[in-house]
Amino acid sequence: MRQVRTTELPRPRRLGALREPANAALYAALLLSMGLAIFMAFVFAPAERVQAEVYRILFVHVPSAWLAFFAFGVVALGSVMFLIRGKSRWDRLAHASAEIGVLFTTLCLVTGSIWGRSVWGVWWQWDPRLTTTLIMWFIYVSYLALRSYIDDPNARQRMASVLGIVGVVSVPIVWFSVEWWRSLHPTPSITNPGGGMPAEMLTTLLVSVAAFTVFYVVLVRQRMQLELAVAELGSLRERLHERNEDST
Amino acid sequence: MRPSQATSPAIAADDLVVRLGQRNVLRGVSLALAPGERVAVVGPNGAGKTTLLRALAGLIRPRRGQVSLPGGRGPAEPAARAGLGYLGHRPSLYPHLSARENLAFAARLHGVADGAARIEAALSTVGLASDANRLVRDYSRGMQQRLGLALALLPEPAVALLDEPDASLDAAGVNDLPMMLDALAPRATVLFSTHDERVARALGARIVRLEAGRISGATGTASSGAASDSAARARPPGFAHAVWAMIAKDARVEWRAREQVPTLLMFTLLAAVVFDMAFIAVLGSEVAAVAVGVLWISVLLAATLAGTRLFATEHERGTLDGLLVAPVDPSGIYLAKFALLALETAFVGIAQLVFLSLLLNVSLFQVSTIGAVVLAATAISAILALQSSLVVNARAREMLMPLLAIPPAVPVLLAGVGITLGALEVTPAGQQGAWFGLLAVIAVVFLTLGTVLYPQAART
Repeated sequence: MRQVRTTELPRPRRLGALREPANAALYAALLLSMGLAIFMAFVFAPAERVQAEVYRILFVHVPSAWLAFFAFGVVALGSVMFLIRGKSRWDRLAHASAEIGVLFTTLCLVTGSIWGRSVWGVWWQWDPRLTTTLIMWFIYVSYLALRSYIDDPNARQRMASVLGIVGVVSVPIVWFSVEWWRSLHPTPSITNPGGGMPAEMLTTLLVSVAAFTVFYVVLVRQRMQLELAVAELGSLRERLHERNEDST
Repeated sequence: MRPSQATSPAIAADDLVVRLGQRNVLRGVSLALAPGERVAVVGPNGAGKTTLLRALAGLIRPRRGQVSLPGGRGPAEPAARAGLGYLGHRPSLYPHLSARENLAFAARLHGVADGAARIEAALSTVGLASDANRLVRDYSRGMQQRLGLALALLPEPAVALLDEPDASLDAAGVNDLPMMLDALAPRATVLFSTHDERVARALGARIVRLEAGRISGATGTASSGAASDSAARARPPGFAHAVWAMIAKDARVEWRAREQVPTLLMFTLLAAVVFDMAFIAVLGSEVAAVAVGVLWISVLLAATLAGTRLFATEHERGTLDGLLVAPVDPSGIYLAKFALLALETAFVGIAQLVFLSLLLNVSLFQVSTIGAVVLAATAISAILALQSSLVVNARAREMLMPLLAIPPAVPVLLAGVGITLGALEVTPAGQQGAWFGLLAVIAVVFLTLGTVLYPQAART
């Protein structure tokens, strides 16, 4: 049997290794921004007049909500590009972004629920925003479920891409319908939208959003690299299998 | 392997690589058939013969390489498939239709001129004239194979791709194969797979050996088949004509099989009875709200039940391949399935209006509520028909479908509830226009998405 030359194999690498400049830069940005965000959230931002300390959950809740929407936008982008270009990396982007998006949506729902329990006295309200976010969570969980229920990689990529596009179109329709629904059925308003946010809180919120966005980029990148490694492993196994077939 | 003829090939594959799962099933297959030539692909099980034929028919997207059909066009172009006849591993037959009805549907889908005479000739050639009106489900496997051959060759294709045409045939059937090909597609370029080289020789075919996804050798010389130009008998049907043919076929199959509508009717009646019983103790002034809730939940669940089977049934029978190789844009398949589901859902929803009006003594059977049910059935079917196409290859699709279907259908439910509550004067009726508008928007958006995206999902 012919010897396998090591030059034929992909260069071994550790996922997210610090010696890669892009990784090092991202980790440094994440460490700095997240450290700053945590400091500002707990020390710099003052206590709220009515809600006291519990409002600080906002600095996790709002960035999570923003990233949930952003992530699902990226799912749609990756899906469209995969269908146009047919390159697997676009599907890997959509898949990674959907997983991280579901993670942030869950975080958004959980933190919102904790805040609601403290301020409204209940864990859940059928408020348009809550309802829409929950339905969005279901839509993207079903996207991940579809992926895991299809064994053939080609079919999985194409079907998931179609659902990735359908999902992003569904979200605004659900959003407006739920808004209309509530407006048609007036209930005592629980949320209090009045009042501007003090500058310290706003700054802290913006820094948190930035820090979470860097966190998202790091996570998506890691997830995509992991998917690539899985694909490369599959391809190596196939090459080995083909080589064995050819030699017999 | 390169073409030995100087003429431009009738069908060619260039460096075709097809990956199924983690495995490259075809590993760089190049093949060209001169017009009128007959080629037999032989090889052991798992060599990639079926995959090669499916890739040439455009049912699989190759990872690399190209396929060209007559005119140099790829099989993804509907017009290029006008001259294509395809017999898959399982013949593309509807068990609840007779042989004649199966052929009539194929004739409409492929735009076969002088269809009735051609069908009779085909039936007679494959020896099924006396069994033509029997349902295919009562056919033996060998008879189904004969009918499958007749169906593939019905449009007198310029190129015929036949996956083991001798499979399941008795000795007489195998002996008759050359006669069937000569009679039904005398000018066709034929590529077929077989395990039996005697069949290849009987058909005067050049033999190409496929092993582990690669062509390993060839024997024999090119047959002297008459050069074909194009399919003279078939002209691609108009898009609307093809969609209508598919709807009519599905309606006929449902009429015979009674797999969907009676079950769905019983399901909705059961939902009405069970929910009413469950709520009977608390039903007072809320009776209207309960009726509305039961109506829309049962409509959604009935549509989900029916939607799960929509593409799955075609996939399981192998008939989806028959639709996909027809010279019709795949979006037509989506539209036909959508129409069938919308009809079934609307019918069941209107029946539920009657059930609930009788059981709960509420005046749900009104023009506005019927309109809401019809429009909601349209919107929900536009969503579900697309999602049904996405789960055909999925494991446990019955479990997955509700998870996919219900979240995006929430606006349809809200609009339906809004309209029916208004009709029952539980809420002011003035907002009904907005809800009808929302239903129309959802229907248009998802019909557009389905029409554009289904062709992307159809071939994997």
